[in-house]
Amino acid sequence: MPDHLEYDNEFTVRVLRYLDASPTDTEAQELAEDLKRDPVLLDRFVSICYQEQLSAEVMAAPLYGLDNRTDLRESSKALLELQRAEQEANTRIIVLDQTPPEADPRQGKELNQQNADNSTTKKPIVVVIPHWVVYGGIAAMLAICFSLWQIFSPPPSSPALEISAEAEHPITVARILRVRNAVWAEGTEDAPGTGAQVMSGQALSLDNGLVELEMLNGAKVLLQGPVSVQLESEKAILLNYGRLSASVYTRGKGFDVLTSQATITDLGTEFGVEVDDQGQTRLDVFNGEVELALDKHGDTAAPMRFTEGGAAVIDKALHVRRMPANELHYVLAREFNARVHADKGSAYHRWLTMTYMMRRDPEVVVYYLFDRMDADQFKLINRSNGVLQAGDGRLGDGHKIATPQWVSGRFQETRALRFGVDDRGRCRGVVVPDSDALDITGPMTIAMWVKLDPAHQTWNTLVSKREIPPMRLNYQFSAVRGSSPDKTRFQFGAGTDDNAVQGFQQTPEINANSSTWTHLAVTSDSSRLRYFVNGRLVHQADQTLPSLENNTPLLVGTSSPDLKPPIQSGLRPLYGEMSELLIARRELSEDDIQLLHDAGKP
Amino acid sequence: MAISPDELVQVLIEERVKLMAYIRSIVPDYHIAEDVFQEISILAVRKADEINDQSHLMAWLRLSARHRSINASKKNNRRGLPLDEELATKLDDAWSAYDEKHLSEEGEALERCIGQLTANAKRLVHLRYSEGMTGEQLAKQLNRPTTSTYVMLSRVHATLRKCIQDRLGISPRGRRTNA
Repeated sequence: MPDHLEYDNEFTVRVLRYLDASPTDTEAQELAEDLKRDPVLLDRFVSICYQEQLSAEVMAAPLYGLDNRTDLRESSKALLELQRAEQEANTRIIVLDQTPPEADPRQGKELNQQNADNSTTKKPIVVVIPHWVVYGGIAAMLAICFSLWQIFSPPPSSPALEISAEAEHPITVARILRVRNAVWAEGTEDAPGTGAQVMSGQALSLDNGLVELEMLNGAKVLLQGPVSVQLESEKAILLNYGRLSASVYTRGKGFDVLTSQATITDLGTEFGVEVDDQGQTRLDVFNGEVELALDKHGDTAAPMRFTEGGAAVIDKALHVRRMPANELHYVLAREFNARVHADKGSAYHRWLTMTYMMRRDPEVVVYYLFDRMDADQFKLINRSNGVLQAGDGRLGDGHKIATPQWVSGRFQETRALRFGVDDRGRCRGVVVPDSDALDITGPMTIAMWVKLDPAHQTWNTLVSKREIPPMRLNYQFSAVRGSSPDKTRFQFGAGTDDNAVQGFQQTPEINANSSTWTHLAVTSDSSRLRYFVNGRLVHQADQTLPSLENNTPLLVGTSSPDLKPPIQSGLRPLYGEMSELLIARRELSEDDIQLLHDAGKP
Repeated sequence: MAISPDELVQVLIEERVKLMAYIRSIVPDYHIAEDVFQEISILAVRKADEINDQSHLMAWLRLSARHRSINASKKNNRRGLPLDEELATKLDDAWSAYDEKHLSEEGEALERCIGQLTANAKRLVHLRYSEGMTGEQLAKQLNRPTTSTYVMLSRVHATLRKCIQDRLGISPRGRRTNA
């Protein structure tokens, strides 16, 4: 490992020197030969080039950064306008390729060859514009914008003047980065679209949908309809009602969200703010630090600091109640990204978008997505927003239950756990600490994606919550081998002992033990049990669920290692893989189950 | 059906980092790379009517970027990667793995990872990426030998890469993974 690391650093140094444009001819030639010879080095080379550019973009250097992105948008828009104009005037523009303005125009490279070929019927007027004129024009336009900015922008030391100057002379303070399903409030003139500039003092009222703004100071603000805001300056936004979230990282620190009750100032962070229909302000901090200063009769009180995971609600009497932050209360940029990519056809993001909806269901107690490589490799993170605030599952118990193995999931971005038995004969499983929320006392749903081994054992435990001793069973969901190796039955059982389970019906035999992922769900309204396979209802039976509670952990992928014959003969782990698990304290509808399957299908 | 102007502008903005990185892998000089990027952006806007969709646009942008980078490198007499057909193909294959990358997620992860660096490493990152310093300029600024400055940079690179991978679940070879 140290040798490899050293080698890796040595290669990184070579590439960094190359990117600094300082290699000799020999070094460049050697680098090219190495890249042709070794695909690992080629991947590393590409990775370093990408990381260098990404870092420059993130750090927003004047040469590389976001300002240029803005310029690019202006340039592109300007060119589009130019193109439209030339089409209207039946004029074709030729940009000379690195050719001096006084050179022969015939050396110019015609850009729209196809149009030229088709131009016999309607001969266009040809206007030759050298590239320096096009670029120069754009540069001049930007220079004019900059000059106007300078003229209308007061010195930074006079904030009062800034407000009045902006009020008299509205200036661009933000741009609309992205819009999704936006329904603007009645009366909104010229519903702004992607790329539109937003001026100081301009109000934006959204009845529905999402709109992402980039403030000129770098902060990104996501408006979540219904919402009404007014942009005060490049670093301040007034929230009249509704919800917004803001990401303010390297640039843009000091960004303010104003409400009728408080001023919220970010200190480099990600946070959400809501003004509800009573006019009460709520703040949730997801990363970094935020200051909240109450506005008491026009006087700003000493600011309070909130850090990651903290939240506050301000009541009408301006009392601040602290509480834990809830990111699902807002649509954050990553969820917006998921929706945008889902719109573009990404199966993974289609699934991810669906998971946000399920996570917001207060009756979903446990929701393991197996989605990311969390810092802790030995946990399944509970992503639900329900009553069970904890609910993380531990891989193995370090004693009788072995650690399951991470393997490829249904999507490239997700993973799965492989269960079975380890080389010491212990079942592999996930242990979820006991909670009352995990006991069945009414309607319920258990849903998951599984892949059973073709030659799986007779009895495979999917999830189990049973207490030994005494011999009390709460519930267990299992896959049972059918009449042939390619047939499987599923069974949900609950009761005070194993005999009670016998009364529970199994599904008919189903082809579910192939190498493909199968979606399973069992639901109950307390008196009727229904089984779904790949989103379809395959079996239902009248079956009253007893109301049971116990104090034992929920096990995933294994039954209790303490079970002994005759209650259980042999080990009963899941011989296969699992890649998503949801437990809810309500009976999900057929549509819900269908959605879980359709959106989660790889 | 041709790509819409809004969509085209959006792609140019979203793909800027990847395209700039691709161009700089061929012609490392930043200013030349920026010129090449501007040129192909303008060309893309001009040719919008002939471009069907986003994937067509991306393929077209990369091909144009390659040709123009090579030409720009020759015209400006600046060193670049001596590309022959074999290396060009391999390079394009390697870059195609980045088509699915989601810039906003990676950018966000990188921001947070930079926030976790030590004070010295943060300073190095600031000087290189905010101030745009080369290794030699950094060495002078920090009063250190050039070689050890580059080694420091390479270590910061490795730390940030590992941190991003951990946050996003990306394999060491740059692809999303599950294992």
